[in-house]
Amino acid sequence: MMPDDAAKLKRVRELFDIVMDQPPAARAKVLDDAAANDPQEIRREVDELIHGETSTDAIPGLRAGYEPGSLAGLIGQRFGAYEVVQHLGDGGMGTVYEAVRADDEYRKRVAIKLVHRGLDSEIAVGRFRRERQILANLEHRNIATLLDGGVAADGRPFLVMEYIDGTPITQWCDGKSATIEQRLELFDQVCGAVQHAHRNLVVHLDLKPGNILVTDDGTVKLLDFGISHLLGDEGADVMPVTRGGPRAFTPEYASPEHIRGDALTTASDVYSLGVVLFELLAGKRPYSKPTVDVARGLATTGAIPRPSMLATGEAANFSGEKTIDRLRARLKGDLDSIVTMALRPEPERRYASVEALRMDISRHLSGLPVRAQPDRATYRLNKFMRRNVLGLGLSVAVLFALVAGVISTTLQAQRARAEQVKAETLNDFLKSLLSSVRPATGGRDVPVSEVLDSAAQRIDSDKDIDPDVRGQLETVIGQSYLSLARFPEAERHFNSAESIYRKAHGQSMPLVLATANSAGLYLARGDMDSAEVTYKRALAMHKSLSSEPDTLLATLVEGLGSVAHGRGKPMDSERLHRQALAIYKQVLGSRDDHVATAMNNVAVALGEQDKWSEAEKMHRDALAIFKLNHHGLNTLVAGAENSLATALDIEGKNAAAESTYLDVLDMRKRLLGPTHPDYAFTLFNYAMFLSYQGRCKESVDYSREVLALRGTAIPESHPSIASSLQTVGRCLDKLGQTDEGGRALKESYELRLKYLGADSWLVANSEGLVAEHETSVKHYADAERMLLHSNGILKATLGASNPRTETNIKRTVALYEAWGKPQKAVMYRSQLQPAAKH
Amino acid sequence: MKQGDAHDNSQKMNSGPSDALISDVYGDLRAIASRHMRNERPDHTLQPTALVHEAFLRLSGPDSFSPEERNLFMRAASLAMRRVLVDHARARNAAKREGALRVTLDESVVGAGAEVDAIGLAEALDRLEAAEPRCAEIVQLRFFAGLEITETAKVLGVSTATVKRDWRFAKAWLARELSLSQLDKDDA
Repeated sequence: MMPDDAAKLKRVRELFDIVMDQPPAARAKVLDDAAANDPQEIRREVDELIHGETSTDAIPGLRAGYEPGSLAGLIGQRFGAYEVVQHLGDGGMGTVYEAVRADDEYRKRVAIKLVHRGLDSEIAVGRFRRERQILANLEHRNIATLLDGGVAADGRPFLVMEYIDGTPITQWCDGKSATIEQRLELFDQVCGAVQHAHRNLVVHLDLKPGNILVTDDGTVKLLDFGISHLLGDEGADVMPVTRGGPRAFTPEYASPEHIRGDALTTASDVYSLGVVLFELLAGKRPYSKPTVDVARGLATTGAIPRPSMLATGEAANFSGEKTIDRLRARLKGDLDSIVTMALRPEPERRYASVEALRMDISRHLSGLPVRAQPDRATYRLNKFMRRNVLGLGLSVAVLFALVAGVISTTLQAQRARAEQVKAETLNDFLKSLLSSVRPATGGRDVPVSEVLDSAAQRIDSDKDIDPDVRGQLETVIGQSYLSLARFPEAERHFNSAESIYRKAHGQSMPLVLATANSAGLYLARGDMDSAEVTYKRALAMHKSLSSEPDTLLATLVEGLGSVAHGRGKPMDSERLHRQALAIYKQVLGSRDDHVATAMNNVAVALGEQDKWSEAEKMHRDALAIFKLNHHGLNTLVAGAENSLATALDIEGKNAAAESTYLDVLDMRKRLLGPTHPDYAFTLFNYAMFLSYQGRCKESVDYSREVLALRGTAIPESHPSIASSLQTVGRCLDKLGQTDEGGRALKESYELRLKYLGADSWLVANSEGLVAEHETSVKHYADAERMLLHSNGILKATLGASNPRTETNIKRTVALYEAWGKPQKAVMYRSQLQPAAKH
Repeated sequence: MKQGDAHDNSQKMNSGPSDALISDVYGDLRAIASRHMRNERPDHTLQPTALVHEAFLRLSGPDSFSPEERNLFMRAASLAMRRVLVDHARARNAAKREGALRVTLDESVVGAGAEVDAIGLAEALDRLEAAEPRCAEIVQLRFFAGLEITETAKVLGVSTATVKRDWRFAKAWLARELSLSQLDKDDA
């Protein structure tokens, strides 16, 4: 920040105060007078601030320059930074103009879309502005950026967008005679963009070739993202889900639920993508008439046209397949299955996400079997599983879901229609709760627990809640209490969820899930006995309900594995985690994140049994999966690599350990930044590694980097601080910088003493190290006092024959030898085990 | 200094929290935030007020803070929250594919659960702080600790009128900065 800017801002503030203290009518004049000697830009800024305070115009110039109804009058007009150049066209929603951003330095082309329909209420305007901000953040190379927007004086919203010089995707492909493979690759870009938007909770809802442009260099650009929603009806205040009411859409590409006016979700975009893909492949759309028929009747007859059936001779020509028969043969099988799966009338039976659609296309392109299944009734089973997944999703969502995560949970919930109503009830409930609690209004009260407590009361008193919703709420509340480590409350709500499900469904999967939650609580509390009993109860119930393995079963077995781990039984832990791993693999395929996590658990259990080379292999396999799923740079990948590095380090594979450490460091630095604790912890491990290699100078440098974060990213009480000081101290001693080395060792000892208490063996070991240092600088009496003291504690806590105790006794022997007291040295040497005497 | 500095010195604020307190709270908030981020899908926003209150709960336990301590805590926590948000946003931006971190601001403060880009907000606050430090802290307290005007005044030890005046400016200025930040990015 330049001091100039600060001075300018101060002046702006001053003028703002002066002007705002005046009644609105007088403000323009007052500003003119007060700012008479100020530069134009300051005046302008104040003016804009005042307008922002008082009007809903994002760009004040618009209100001044725009006359409703005179479109021609817009040409040459400046709106803030934009100047309209020409009229580009009229669409269903509005009129589009080309404009340039006319700054001092350059002129950037933009498209301004002025919407026909006005927004009629303050709420609608407010929502428009909020959504616009969300859309503006939707950065992706294949999405035309929304640059700005506002609301004109007559209530008509306008949007400023990146100007795209391109051709609709279908025309582009035909014009270039693109092959089926090239079309699929282009379509993959489209899916990537839509997937990105869905991750950001934005749905498009008007996907069609006219909104999917391809530029000369073959880059896809999606237009009008989320705009149909932006201009949608009031029903969709917060959720990325619109329902009911008039909406702008193109019937040929709209999903059945869209035409019916039902709730819309990401699945609706999947459908539209299916239509676009159909057209790209077959040369025509699946239905000649708008899909009203589909919405009404076809859902029952189930006859979804296949691209191979409808492919045209023209399409064969354009795609270079020579004859229509060859094109049909090319489309039959995989591509037919993929397209029809996207086009299923019931949203919950389409691809669960754009990502799934995209993966199937890439499986097809690389010759793997696709996931798309012929239309079968087995989906009911899947639906039931999804229900359980929803429950799980809610339970891990903890407090955060209560407050901010409602949106994404809803999005997940949209997949099954029956669940949606429940999810909405749930959301309404949560929202009403949140709005009833104001943070920090009562001075000392604590809203988090207040929210939870009032939620707890509300569900007790509201008798009309559906049992499934009630069960889910109890689960969410239980998880929230668990996250606050309020175990008794968590237990009460988990138990209550259990009894609700027991009453509503008897022995059932929801009850199994609820029981698993209780077991997880016991595990978190460290109550291994209760955890084990409860997991086993859930397991027995699961077995009585289903002979099929599923992820819930894997979760239960995994829980028992963690119990074994907590009890220090690594062999049992290994066995159980291997079982969980097998189930995850069977249910989710071999490359799911769950599979990799289970592998890591197995690897940890192996390491605890000192089977380091097996552990290493398992870590590597887990890492490979994370890398596949997350394309390299990802915190999960970094975490798995970190475990691997530690395994290699302990195994003594120094070169491999070092390169892995360096890899993790690089990744964590880029992902998390150099002041993040996770980065620092790896740094710490690496520094220790170096010190064991005798690479003292490097070790000191890295340890000091860790120590620089003391009190900021890493609390002083964290063991890595004391240990780093110790590493620095020992290394400096070795390097002959004994003054500084001694200081570091003493500080390490004092820190441990402060945070661990005098009875800890770690403290005693630190004391021994200080004594060793004192010996080296000939402060024999001090060293003696410390060694006698630390020997006592080590013997009492670890026993006389523990290697650490023996190390300290050796330090004592060394002291007496240096001090010239051989009898005492001999006496201490005699305490050592025969093997340790030298 | 120009004549305009008068209002800065018209009222002296309470002295702020110590670095040690800030870093304590920072550690706690960071832990809470990353737990939330871990447990959640990547397509999430942070609700800073909830995090601050959770931290308060964890640090204090019920009824263990005096009013003075609570004031200090709120100032430390809101500053720490600002850092946590920036750290998370940077980490996520570094990961690119997960999209920019957005922050949901408290409804009682900005009206309608507005979401803003965390880095944009942080940078704007830095600029504001350089010229109008008290304005920046007021924003911090209101956005990140969810304090109301009267509470903000109490915590800072200034009059309600001062807070209102600062807030009026800060709100207008930030609204403009944040809606323009997208254009600036485009310029770069």
